[in-house]
Amino acid sequence: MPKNTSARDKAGIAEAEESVAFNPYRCSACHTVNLPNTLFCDRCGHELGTPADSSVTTDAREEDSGALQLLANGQTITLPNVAEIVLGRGRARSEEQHMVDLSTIGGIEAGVSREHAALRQRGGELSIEDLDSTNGTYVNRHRITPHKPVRLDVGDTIHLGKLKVKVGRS
Amino acid sequence: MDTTHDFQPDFYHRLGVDPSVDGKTLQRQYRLLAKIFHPDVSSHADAHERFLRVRQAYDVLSDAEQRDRYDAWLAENVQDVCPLQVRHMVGPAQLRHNVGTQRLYVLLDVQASELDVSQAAPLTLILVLDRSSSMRGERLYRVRKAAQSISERLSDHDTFGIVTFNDRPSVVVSAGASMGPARLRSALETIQAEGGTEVARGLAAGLAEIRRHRHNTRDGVAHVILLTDGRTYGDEARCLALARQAADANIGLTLFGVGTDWNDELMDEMAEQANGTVRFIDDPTAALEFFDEEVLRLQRIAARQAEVTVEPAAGSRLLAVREVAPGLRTLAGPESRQATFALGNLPIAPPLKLLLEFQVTPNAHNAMLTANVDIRALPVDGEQSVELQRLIVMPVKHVQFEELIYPQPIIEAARRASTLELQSNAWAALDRGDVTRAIESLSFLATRFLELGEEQLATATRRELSQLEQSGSLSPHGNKTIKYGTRRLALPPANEAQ
Repeated sequence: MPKNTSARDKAGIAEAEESVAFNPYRCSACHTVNLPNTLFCDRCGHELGTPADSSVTTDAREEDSGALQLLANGQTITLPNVAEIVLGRGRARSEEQHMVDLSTIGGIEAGVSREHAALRQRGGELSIEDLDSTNGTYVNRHRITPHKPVRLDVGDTIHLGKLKVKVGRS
Repeated sequence: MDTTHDFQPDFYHRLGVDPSVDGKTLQRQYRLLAKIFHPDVSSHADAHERFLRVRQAYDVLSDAEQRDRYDAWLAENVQDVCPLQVRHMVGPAQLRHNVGTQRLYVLLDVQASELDVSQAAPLTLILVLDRSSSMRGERLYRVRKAAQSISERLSDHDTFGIVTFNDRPSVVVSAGASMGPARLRSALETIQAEGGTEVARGLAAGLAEIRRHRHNTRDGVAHVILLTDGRTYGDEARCLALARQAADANIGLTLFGVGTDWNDELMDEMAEQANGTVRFIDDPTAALEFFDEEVLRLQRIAARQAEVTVEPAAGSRLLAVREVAPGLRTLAGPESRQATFALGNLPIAPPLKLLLEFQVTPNAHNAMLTANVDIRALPVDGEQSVELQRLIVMPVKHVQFEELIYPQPIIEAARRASTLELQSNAWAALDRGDVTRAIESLSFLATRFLELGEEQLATATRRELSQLEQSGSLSPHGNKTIKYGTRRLALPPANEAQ
């Protein structure tokens, strides 16, 4: 298969879908590797690309004003109740910065930048801003422009590079 | 210059586009096809002929004035020349370079053009009803009511007959003896529940009634609804042979099993031979609904003897063909050697939807012919068979996982197909004696039912799971509930226009 080098450069890291660490066609429920483009796991029927923890349903009750949570790769991360959180890899740059390190849940393989995006809460309103990341930030599959904050709702799906993250409330 | 005599009903189909297609998409599709079928480039056996047919269609459709005239011609003549429409959607929207062998979902939509219901073909319907001793009481009472109700639904040009059977058959209402409601009621009252169960005798008598009152096999729609509540002994082979006979004579067959004791494996096999359906009537009070629904369906048939042929192109392999609406059933799996599948009767509404799954290995080009799909059927008010071809041509691009787009109907169709597959895998595992695997598949199935909002099926499945763990087999009731319940999970009709 001819290698598309310019696409590789764009991706920045290995862009083969069948990379060992992060494969969107490996079922998060039963770990079977499926054919690319498959929607439902051939072995167990789980919807591929969604977390195995099905206790989070999309009919989020808006009255709950619990803590914000991110769901990715079957793990739930509860976010601190602060105005701005940086989603990325590694440690925070300063005392004041609140960083959520996504390298432990597949962030490296998924192409998450060190400082990928900023999640902001203000008066009940959520927004996300791409911090000029290498692989882009997507909200409900639409890529957002760097440094142009976009409104976010609970239940939205964000992609940071290849990492799929769902926004929920506890 | 009048070119209407050059118009063919399938110009849009030849290009694999819908009649509402815009000029730009049309041009793009033509270019894709021209590249694929150009005789200098293509290795297809009939590339030249294909190319000419595509060009003929494009010459008309690409010219605004000619397209307008063609559309008008089509609208006026659609009933006669093209009473069926075939559309398709694909998921994902493009095939992908650099992921190697991948899956492609294609949802086919077969729609009959508007047909006036008053023009519906005459129906010859025979009920073949079990009157063995187990039918005594509630069951026979409900069946009598159902028979009465459907006789009222039928019209003057329909023919109705009733055959009952236990150890032997008897004709209660002869097909063609038009009885008023009062006489019918008395005739039904004479039916007594007693004796054993010999399905083959009942079915044979029912088929004989149809043959006696039909002039040739092409007149209208002929159908047998057979209802039983028990197991037939010793005549299983004969039942299957009769089911095949029905298919050969274009007599449709619907099998209703009441209660828990009937032989579902035999009925499933008979339905397969006759290209018919099996329905599980768990509660006899529901019998009327089942009969009514069936008769309504029979009165809304647009075309009969429908068939689909799927020819995967080089680099593609057919993984599965499933009906996802109005019923849910598998027509072919990956091991299937067939290319043509019987679809039975095509309803006027809702449209028949088929989900095809392919395994595709794209080449280095920007576009790929994935498959050729052919649908054939015999319109009820026509003499001639209609054939429609649909090419599935896919663009091939470099697409990231998060950029993949799937139309919602494809996601929902694939969800149901996956659930059906889980259920048949569980049953196949049990047939092999692999209880461990069956338990595993059933536990997955319970979760899937919950996701689909089918709480009763999920509960029944969990109950059968403990049953399996204890005894190594399913309960007869659980078996029927889950198996036939899954088949009712067809795709709901779309509300929005596609």
